[in-house]
Amino acid sequence: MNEPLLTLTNVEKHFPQSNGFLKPAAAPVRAVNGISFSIAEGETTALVGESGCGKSTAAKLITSAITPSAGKITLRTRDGNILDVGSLRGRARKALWRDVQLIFQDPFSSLNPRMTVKQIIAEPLRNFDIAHGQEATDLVADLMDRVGLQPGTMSRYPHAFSGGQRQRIGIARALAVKPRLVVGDEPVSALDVSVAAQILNLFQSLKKDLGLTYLLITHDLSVVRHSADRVAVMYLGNIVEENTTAALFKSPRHPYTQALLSAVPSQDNQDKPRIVLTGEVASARNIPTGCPFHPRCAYATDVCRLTAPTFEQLPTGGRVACHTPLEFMP
Amino acid sequence: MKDLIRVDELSIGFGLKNWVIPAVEGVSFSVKPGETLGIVGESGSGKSLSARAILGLVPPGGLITSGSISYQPESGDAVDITSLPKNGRAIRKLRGAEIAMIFQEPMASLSPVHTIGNQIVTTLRQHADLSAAAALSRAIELLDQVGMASPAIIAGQYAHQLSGGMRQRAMIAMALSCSPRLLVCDEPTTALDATTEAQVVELLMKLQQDFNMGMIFISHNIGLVSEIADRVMVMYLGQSIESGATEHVLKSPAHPYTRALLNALPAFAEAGAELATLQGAVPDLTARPTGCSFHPRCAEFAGPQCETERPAIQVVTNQHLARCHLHE
Repeated sequence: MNEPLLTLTNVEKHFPQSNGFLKPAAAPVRAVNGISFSIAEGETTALVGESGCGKSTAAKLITSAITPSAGKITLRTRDGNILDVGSLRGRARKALWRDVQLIFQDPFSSLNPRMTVKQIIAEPLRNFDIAHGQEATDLVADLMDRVGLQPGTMSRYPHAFSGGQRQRIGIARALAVKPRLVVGDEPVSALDVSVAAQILNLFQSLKKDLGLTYLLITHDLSVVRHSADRVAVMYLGNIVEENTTAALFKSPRHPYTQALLSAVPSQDNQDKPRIVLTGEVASARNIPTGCPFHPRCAYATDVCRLTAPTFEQLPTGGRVACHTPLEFMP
Repeated sequence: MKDLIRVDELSIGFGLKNWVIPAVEGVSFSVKPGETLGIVGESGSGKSLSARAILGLVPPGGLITSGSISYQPESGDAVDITSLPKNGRAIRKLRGAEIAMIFQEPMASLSPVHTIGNQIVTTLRQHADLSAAAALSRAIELLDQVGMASPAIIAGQYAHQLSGGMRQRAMIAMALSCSPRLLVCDEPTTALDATTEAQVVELLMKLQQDFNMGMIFISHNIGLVSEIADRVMVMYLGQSIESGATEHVLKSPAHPYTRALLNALPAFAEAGAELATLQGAVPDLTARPTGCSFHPRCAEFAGPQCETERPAIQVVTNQHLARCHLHE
C-alpha cells in the first residue's frame, strides 16, 4: 500500500445543543464519535452509511469546513509537509484546498446561476493565483475538454446544461487547482442511471490519468462495489467495519454490514434472503450504551449492551468493531 | 381472472388544444388482482404521469388526449376513469377507497398540521360510515398492522415528529385504510435508506399477499423492481418500449434501451470495469427525435427506418413485447 495521504485519528465532532437561554444545555449531537482511518494515495476509499451516520460530517471535517471537537486529521501536502487539518484557521486553510477539493451531490444548487461556466471554472484558478486572463481561458477549455464538455459552451450559464453536464462542470471546477484528494459527497445520487454511469466512468478515467485519490461518500453500495478500493462502513458516528471492497462484499464481518449488503438488490444476491433489521437508527443525541448497534442486532449479547467494542484488526484482514464478528468466509 | 385495471393506448399531453406536447404516448398495460406491475424508466419518461392518470390525478395543464383506463369494480360494469369528471363524485368514490396511492416524498404528502391519526380518520370517514371513535380505533389498528411500535402514540403525533421510514409507514397505513383493490406506489422507497427500504418493501409485499391487492410499483431502481414485480414495463420518453414477465425482460431484454440501462447499473457490473453508458442524455419532450425516439442514443441500429419510421410494438416471445425495428 502507498503511504497514507490523509489520516484521521480518533476524530470526534459533537454539536452542542441549547435548550434556550438560561436553561441547562441539552445532550450534544454526537455526529462523529472517534473515527480512525487513512486514505492511501491513488486509492478510492468509500465511506458508506445511512442518513445520520455522520458521513457528511466526516467530509466537512476533512475539508476543514468545520473543526473537530477532538482527535487529529493530518494531510501530507504536495511539498511533503504534514498539515494538521483540524487546527487550520482563516487563510491557512487555503493551503488545504489546493490539495483537497469537494464535489457536491446536487448539481443544481452547487453552481452559481449568475456566473458563466467559464467564470465558475476559472474562479479557483484566480483564487489560487494559478492563471489569469487568456491563460486561464485556455486552462478552462482544457478542463472542459477533459471532463467531456464542449469548450465552445463556456460562455453559457448553468441553466443551459443538463444534470449530468452540470455535475461535469462541478468536477472541472474541483480539478482546476490540480487537487490530490477529491472528496465526492454523494456525487451521483441525484443523477439518472445512464448519466450516473457516465460520471462514474469519468471518475475512473480521471483517476487513471491524473493519479487522483478519492474519498467517496455515499449510501449507494452498488456504486461502492464498482468504484472503491477500500470501504469504511459507518453507523451512528462510528466506523463499524473497514476492509478492501472485495473482502467486505464477500465476507462482511459486522452484522450491520451484513444487513446493509443484503438490502441492496444485485445480481449475486438474488436468491439470498434479505435481512430486515428491526427498529430505527437511534438518535445521535442519545446513542445506546455499549455497542451502538446492539438494539437492532440479531446477535447481541449482554456484553454488547454494556461495553462498546473496540475497533480491532482482524487476522484475516480488515478491521471491525464487534464483540462477536461474523464468521470469515474465504 | 379479470383485469383489475386495463389501460389502453393512453396518451397525455401538456399545452393548448392545437399545440400539445405529448408526455405519454399510446401506453397500454393491465393489472390483475394479486399481481404486481413494475414500471421503470428515467426521469421524464412519463411513468408517474401514467400511473397518476389511473387515480384521475393528471396535474393541471395536462390533458388525456386519447385512450381509456377501465377499472373493474368488485361488482357491476367496468368504469372508464378518463370519462369521469375531474374531482367529481364518481372519481372521489374510487380514489382512496378502491384505488389508493403511495407517494415518493412522505413529508410532502402528509398534512403538517393534522395528526397522523386524524388524517387516517378523515380518509376512513370519507368512504365508510364510521363514528369518530370507531374510526380512530381502526386507525390505530392500521398503524399497528404496518409495524408501528406504539400505534396509539403515533396516532396523536404530527408528521414532523416521525422519521422517514415511519412517515412512509403512516402513508401506507393511510393508503390501506379502506382496503383498496389496487395500490399505486410511486417511488415509495426512493427517499429512504437501504435498510429502511428493505423494511418497507417487505411490508408492502406482505400486505399485498394478505389482501390480494393489485399493485403498480413505479421506480427507477431496476434491482428493486426485479425483486417485487411479476411483470415489468420499461418506459422511455412517454412510450412503453418493452414489457413482459420480469424474468424475461431483465434476463433477456429485447429492446436496446433496456439492455443499455441494465448494463449501466453498477450493481450488475464487474467491480472496476468501465460501465457501459448511453450516449447523451434523455432528450427534452419538446425535441422528440423523429422515427424511434431512442435512435440518437441507440447502439444497435436496425437500419435507416429507425430515423424515419416510428416502430410499432412487436411480439418477441409470448407476452414479451418490444417497440423496436430489430424485432420486425
